[in-house]
This record gives sequence, structure tokens and C-alpha cells, in this order.
Amino acid sequence: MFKRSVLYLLGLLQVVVFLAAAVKPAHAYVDPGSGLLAFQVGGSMLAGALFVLRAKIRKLFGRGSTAKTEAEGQSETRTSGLPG
Amino acid sequence: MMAGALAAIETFRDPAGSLRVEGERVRRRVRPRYARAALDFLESDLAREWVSKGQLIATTVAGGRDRDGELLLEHPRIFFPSYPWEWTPGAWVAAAELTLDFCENLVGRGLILKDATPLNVLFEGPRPVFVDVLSIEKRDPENPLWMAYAQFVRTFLLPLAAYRYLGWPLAASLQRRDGYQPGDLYPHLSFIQRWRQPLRTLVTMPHLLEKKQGKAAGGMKLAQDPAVAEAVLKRNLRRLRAALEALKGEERESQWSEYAASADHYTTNDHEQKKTFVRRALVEIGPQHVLDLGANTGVYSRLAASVGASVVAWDTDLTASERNWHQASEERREVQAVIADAARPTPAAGWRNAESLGLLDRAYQRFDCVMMLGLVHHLLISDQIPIGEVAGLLRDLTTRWAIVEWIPASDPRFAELVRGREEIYGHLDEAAFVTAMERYFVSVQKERLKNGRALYLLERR
Repeated sequence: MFKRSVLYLLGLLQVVVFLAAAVKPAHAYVDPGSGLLAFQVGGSMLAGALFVLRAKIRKLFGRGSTAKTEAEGQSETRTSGLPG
Repeated sequence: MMAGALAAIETFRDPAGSLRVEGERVRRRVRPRYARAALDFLESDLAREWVSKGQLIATTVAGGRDRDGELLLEHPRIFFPSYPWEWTPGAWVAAAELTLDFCENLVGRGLILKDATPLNVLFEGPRPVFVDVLSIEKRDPENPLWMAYAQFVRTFLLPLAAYRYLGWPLAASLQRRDGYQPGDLYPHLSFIQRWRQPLRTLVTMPHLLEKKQGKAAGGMKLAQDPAVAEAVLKRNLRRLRAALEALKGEERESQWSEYAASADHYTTNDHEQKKTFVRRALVEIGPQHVLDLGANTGVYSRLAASVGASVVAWDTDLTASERNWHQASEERREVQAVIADAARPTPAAGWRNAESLGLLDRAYQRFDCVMMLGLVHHLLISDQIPIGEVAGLLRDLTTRWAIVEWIPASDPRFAELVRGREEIYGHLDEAAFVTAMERYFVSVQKERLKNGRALYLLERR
């Protein structure tokens, strides 16, 4: 039971770390909104994660240009490595 | 009445600089710390390309920096600035598309728009022109967010959504400089509307997120790898474009939109005779700038454009103006269709009533020819404007010519409007019309149509 919970937790953590990017204070000239900004943040995190995942799958099957795969590989490392 | 001079104050919201209209010149001051970036952009290939295509306002550097180190720029004045509250739905969509196109192009070059409001766009004919060159700033390559995303949604997409789904007029943007919040629309939508696109993305999700986390939860940004950030940002812009696409729609028919086709008080001959008179008059006088008052779907606006004039077309009917705008846009005619009422002109708006000018202040003595076809009887009867005042308005608007159609009391349309008030309007005959016009104009040509209507070419005294 404990082992399973730890596994779930680790899985969850992996997803969170995968999606998360560094959150910094914004310096906007116009009102960035709150609900609309939160929606954009959520969508951007998901899209970023999907982008990296797609690159990883392409790499696994040996598709895509070398340069692109390299850049996307770096993105993955960077995004994953950022604090949540 | 009209002030006769442009009284707009210097703009003040943008920390990067300000803008003032001085006669035919538009002068922009750029604060020292933003000057280099502004020049870099203006000298870029993108800026040159957009200016050459007429999508970005031309800019010249007006001398060096002044004593305070501010950079002085100059733009040509857009002949007749119209505001979003006077635009047709098609013009709103065109302005939004231009803003997204511009932003997408900037992103590829390491730049971005720091704001995204319809007020950054003006129209030349049916073409939108991006006029705020200080809206461009350097993009943080790690940030996948567009900080003006919410403003774009509030000021472009939500007014369009409110118009399409709730019938709220786009003209209400006069009183909403920052557009609508998702929560403004949410309570008025049905359950199904809330969960269908594009309203799920534009209204429901943002509104529920805001309710959950509170209004002060904004002010953050993400940092992703530059390649990911750019791809995500472009995806966000594509999604906004998809939402905009979903908000396009067919206009319903209105009382006036089918007027030209259903004008049974005109025979084909009458139509042709009227067109021939107007075309001949326009060719003879060769005006540069024509104002078509009561333009309807723009039959005569396009006729004036076809003889070389640039035309501003006012009409109160949204559907008719929308058709005029679309046709001008498709045929690339120099016609700017504006929803405007000569009898209840758009007021000045904004801080101290001086940020946006009233309709008549923008039009005062701007046109060398004003056409008033099939409108006089509406002003006299529906709006109860005295004939002398109508003549006075024409004098204020035109520097020289006017082409005016007189509709006699025997005309079925005149009778429809009078509806039992013959006693009040019985004195309104052609002689009273001529007397009123002759106070300011000389009649140069006149032609009577077979249906009894009369066309006049007038020249200012």
C-alpha cells in the first residue's frame, strides 16, 4: 500500500515537474487580467509539455531533423529542471 | 456647434511616449529610454515591408533628439479617423486580424506587441492600418505568454462575442475603453453557450479561474526554453485566431440593407437617371474627398470612388454599412464605411472628453464634396431637424460642393414618414428647400427624375 502511494506520488510529481516552468513576476504595460492570464498560463504549460513530449516521441522513432531534435531535447531538460 | 478645430489632447497612457495631432501633422515623442528600440524597429525590414503594404503607419524621424533626449517622430494624418464604436463588425474582425498578423510577424523576430486594442488601428478606406509604433517591444525569449493576450480578448473578442451571442451593440465600446471582462458576459449566457467554443475559452474557463483564485492573482509569467516558449506563444496566437474566426458571422437583413434592391418608388430608368446625374457631376467637379451621408449599402459611395475620390460613407444602419464595408473591401474601393448618424453624431469621449473627437469635429471642412442622396426627408421628418439646419450642416462639412436629392411631399417614402402629420410638414416644399440651400450655396445643376425627385449640384458661395 505504502509502496503504491509512493509510486503515485512520484508519478504526480513527475507530471508537475514536467508541466511546471519558472514563475516570475510580470512587467506588463496593460492589465494582464487574472482569469484570462491563469487560463493562458495553464494552456501554455500544457502546450509546452506536449511540445516536449512530441519531440521525445519523434526522437524515439528517429523522426525530425537533427538540429530540431537537439533544440527540443534541450528544451525538455530546461523545462523539466525548473522549480515548480 | 462645431469647434472647427481638433481639440484632442496629447496621449498620456503609454510610458514609452505620447502623440499629438497638429494640423495635418501627427507628432510623436518617444522617451529617451525607449528611443533606441523604436528606431531599431522602424529601421527593420519588417517595418519597411508593413509600411509599403499600407498596414503600418509611415513614420519619419523629425530631426534629432530634443533637449530632454526625447526622439521626435512624425506620421501622416489619417484623413478621417473612425473609432471602434463606429466600425462595422467586419471592420472589427479586420482590425483584430491585422493585430494578430502583426504580432505573429513580430514574434518571429524577437519582438512582440505590448498592447492589443482596437484603438491601435485606424482605417484608410476599407483597409486597417496599425498606427501605434510604440506598441512594439523586445520579447523575453523565455516567456511563452503574451502579456496583451487578456487585453486582446477583452477589447476585441469579448465585444464581438457579446455582439454575436447576446446582441450587445459594438457601439457600446464607446463607454468601455478596456472592453468586457469574462464575468460581464458569463451570467447572460445559456448553459450550452458557456460550454461551447469559442465561449468556453473566452468566457467560461477564465471566469471560473478568476472566481477560484481571486482577481489579484495575475502578474506572473512563465519561463521556458526559448524554442518551446516561441512555439507555445505562436500556438496561443493561433488559438486566438481560431476564436476570432468562430466569431465571424453573417449579418441579418435590416430595414435598409435591401433598400437599393427593393426601392419600388424607383424604376430602373429613375435609378439610371440618378446615377448618370451623380456620375456626371462627380466627373465634372473631380472631388478628392467625398462624404456620403446616408450612404446605405454604398452604391453612390462606390460610384464616387470609381471616379477617383476617396470616400467616407456614413449610415446609421449596421447591416447596410457592413455590406458597404465588405463590398469596398472585396473590390478594393477607397470607401470607408462608418456607422454614424448625422442627426445624433458620435460624441467626444475619454478623459476630459478629449481623447476621442466627436464625429462632426473630425469631419468639419474635411471634404470637398458632400453627397446627401435620399436623406433630407429623413432628417426633416424622422429627426425633426429644420431645413435651415440641414443646409448649415452641409456648409460645415463641405469646402465646396454638395450633391443633394430633394424628395417631394408627393413621394411615397415622404408620405410614409409623415404618417398623419401633414399639417406640421405641409410647408416643406422644394421652394423652402431651395431657399434654405441658397443661403450658403449656389445651384449649379438641377435635374428632375421621372418619379418627381430632384437632384441638385450645389457650390458654396
